Order: sequence, then structure tokens, then C-alpha cells
Amino acid sequence: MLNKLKMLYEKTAMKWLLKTSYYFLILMLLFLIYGFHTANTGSYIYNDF
Amino acid sequence: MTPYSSFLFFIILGILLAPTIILGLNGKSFRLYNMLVSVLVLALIFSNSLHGLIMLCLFTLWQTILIKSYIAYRREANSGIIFCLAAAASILPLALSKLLPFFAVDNWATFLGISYLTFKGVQLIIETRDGLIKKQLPISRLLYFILFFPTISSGPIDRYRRFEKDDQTVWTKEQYEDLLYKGINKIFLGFLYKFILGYCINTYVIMTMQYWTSSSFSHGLAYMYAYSLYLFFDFAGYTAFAVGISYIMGVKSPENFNKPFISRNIKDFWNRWHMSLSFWFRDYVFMRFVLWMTKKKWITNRMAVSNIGYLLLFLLMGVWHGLALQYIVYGLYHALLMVGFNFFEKWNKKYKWWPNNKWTTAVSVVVTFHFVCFGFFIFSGELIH
Repeated sequence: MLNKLKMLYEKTAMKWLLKTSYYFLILMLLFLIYGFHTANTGSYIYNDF
Repeated sequence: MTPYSSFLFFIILGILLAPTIILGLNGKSFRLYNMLVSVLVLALIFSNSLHGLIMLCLFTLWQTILIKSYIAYRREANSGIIFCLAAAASILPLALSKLLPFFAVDNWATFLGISYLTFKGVQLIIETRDGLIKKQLPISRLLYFILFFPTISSGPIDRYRRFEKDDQTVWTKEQYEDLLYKGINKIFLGFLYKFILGYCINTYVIMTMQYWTSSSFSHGLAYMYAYSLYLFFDFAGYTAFAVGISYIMGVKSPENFNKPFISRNIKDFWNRWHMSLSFWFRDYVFMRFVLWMTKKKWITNRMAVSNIGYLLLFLLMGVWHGLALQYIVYGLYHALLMVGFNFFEKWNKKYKWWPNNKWTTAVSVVVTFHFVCFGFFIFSGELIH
């Protein structure tokens, strides 16, 4: 089963589909959280050091 | 403008880096253009802080004079006192920026990125002392290394010789395609970490905690886990952006994180968390201290030398975060964990009490995770204040 999944993942089309879905999901979540507002998450914790 | 904190910053970067991408995809050199972009983005970052910009210029001038003078001196002589003076002078602005708030004086010495620029400056002086840098550095290359904008605010801390190798490379079309792909992937990872996961943990867990925790113990416990995750996603998100943009500019800046929450022990953790800083301290503080002690033979017990080295390293690392009680205690806490683990490792080698298999590894990961989270709880200041 695991080998089958691995073989499936090795296929270029599957890789492309998974990666595109991953980028798309991140973009969708960004739109859901921030909408079309200018997101400003403030500073980073380590910028203070 | 704070780097990587708003979509606007990314839009501006996208426009400015478009020619870099076009040149890279055609196998052409983009070094000069990237230098110009660096100057423009630095102006943008410091556009709302004239004081910060002036201090950055003065600091860069100071470091450049120091580094070039020390390289010129080192070609003729090699006095230990001159080396110590050069290193101390390089650290001086950072030391001032840490000391001034402690004395409740206006912190005029500080600006965004002072720590990370200092680490680069000191590194150049140490590597010159070690004979790793022999030739005088061209001013443009030195400035580009020190002021490389993607990593200016919080690292990762690159090494000059590694940076120079990438900087001098003209990537082929295929090599640049790979760099571009990896860079974009890292930027998306940064969005996931900082803008989604970090944001959600901070907004929906940390900021609402007072409403759903029933006692100070449960509040402390929930805060410990939430803050640890928030710190990771915040900093790892920043690092992903910084490394991603570096890749697009043809520089493979080092990584800062390698799945730190699956560390098997505290030594393993420090090889996975804020790696560029911990490796900097390991190479330029710990190793030098151990070598110095071995050479002078003041302490002959190797275990004792290593433990004192850890104490020195983590105390310095704690103080570097700021002269506040929580950072000093955080440094001491990690020093004690390292010393404790050193003893345990030696003892276990003899008695084989803790075998190495998948079950003990799983338990070790859980135990280490909790020790680490407690460290971040101290670091957050919530325990002490």
C-alpha cells in the first residue's frame, strides 16, 4: 500500500497536482483570513533582538 | 517598513525582483542588479526611521574600517591583543545597544538588524585571525555581504566564504530554475507559518486564553505550549521568507530550522533550532574556549572544560537576547540542560540504562519537547513577571 502511494507520488502529474493544491490552499486561507485588506501581521519576535 | 510583515512588502519585492528572475532564467548574471535592489529595499525598510538609517550607515562604516584595517594588519602581523581589540570594537555597537536600555538611557545605538550585522562583522575578524581570509576584500563585496537585505533583520547568519561562492556564481538556466522553484516554495511555506498558523495561534489561542483557562496553572500550561508553537511559526516563517528571497537572488542562505520539535535530546535540539546562531556560538565561542583551555592546560578534565564552555555559550546567548532576567535565566536553564545531558550521556554509555530503539526515541522526543517548551515559557517572561 505504502509502496503504491510512493509510486503514485513519483508521477510528475501527481506531484504537480499535489503541489498546486498546496499553493492554492495557502492562497485560499490567506484570502479567508485577510480578505483584500492589507495584511499587517506586525513585527517578528526576533526582530527585537 | 518591517521586512516580510505585509503583503505590500511582497508586492514591491515581486516587482523589484522581476528583472532578477528574467535574467536568471536566461542564464545571465544579475549580481549588479541585485546590489541595486538591496540599496532600494534597505531604503524602503528604513524609510520610517531616519535615525535607524543613520545608525546603519555609521555602523557599516565602522565595521568596514575595522575589517579592512584588521585584514591589512593581519597580512603583516598576528598579535592576540590586536585581535581582541578588533573583535571588541566590532561588538561595541551591539554591546551599547544592549546596555543602554538597562541603564534606562535612550537607546540611540540600536537599529533593525544590529545583532545579525554584528555577527557577520565579528565572524570576518575571527576568520581573518584564523588565516581563512587572507586577501583584502573588495569594498562592494564586503558591503553586499554585510547589507544583504533578505537576511538583514533577523538572519539567518551566513558565512562570508559560503556567501561569496554563491555571489560569484553565474547560475545556468537550469540551476536558476531550481533555485527559483525552491525560493517560491519557501515563500509559500513562510505564508503558511507566519500569516496563517502563527496568526491563528496568536489571535485565537494566546489572546483569548484568559477567557477559557480556569486556573493560573492551566493558564501557564496552555500559554507554554501556545507560545512555543507561536515562537516557532513566527521565526520559522520569517526564516522561510528570508531564505526564499535569498534563493531567488541566487544566494543559498543557510537554514535556521530543521524540525526542532522532534529533537531526541537537548544537544539534538540545538542542532535543529536557530541553527545559524547556535552554530555561530558553537564555532566562535564554544570551540575557541575549549581549544584555548586545552592549549593553556588550566583545566585538564575534558568534561569540565566542555561543561564550562556550555555555561559560557548559553549565558552569552541569553544575555544577547537582552539584559533582562528572563533571558539570563533562559540561558542558564539551557546551560544546565546541556551539562545534565552531558553527564547522563556519559553515564548511560557505561551502564546502558537507556537503550536506543524506536520506543525510547519516541519517549525522548516527548521529554525533550517538554523541556524545550518550558525553556520558551521562561523566555516569554510569563513565568518570571
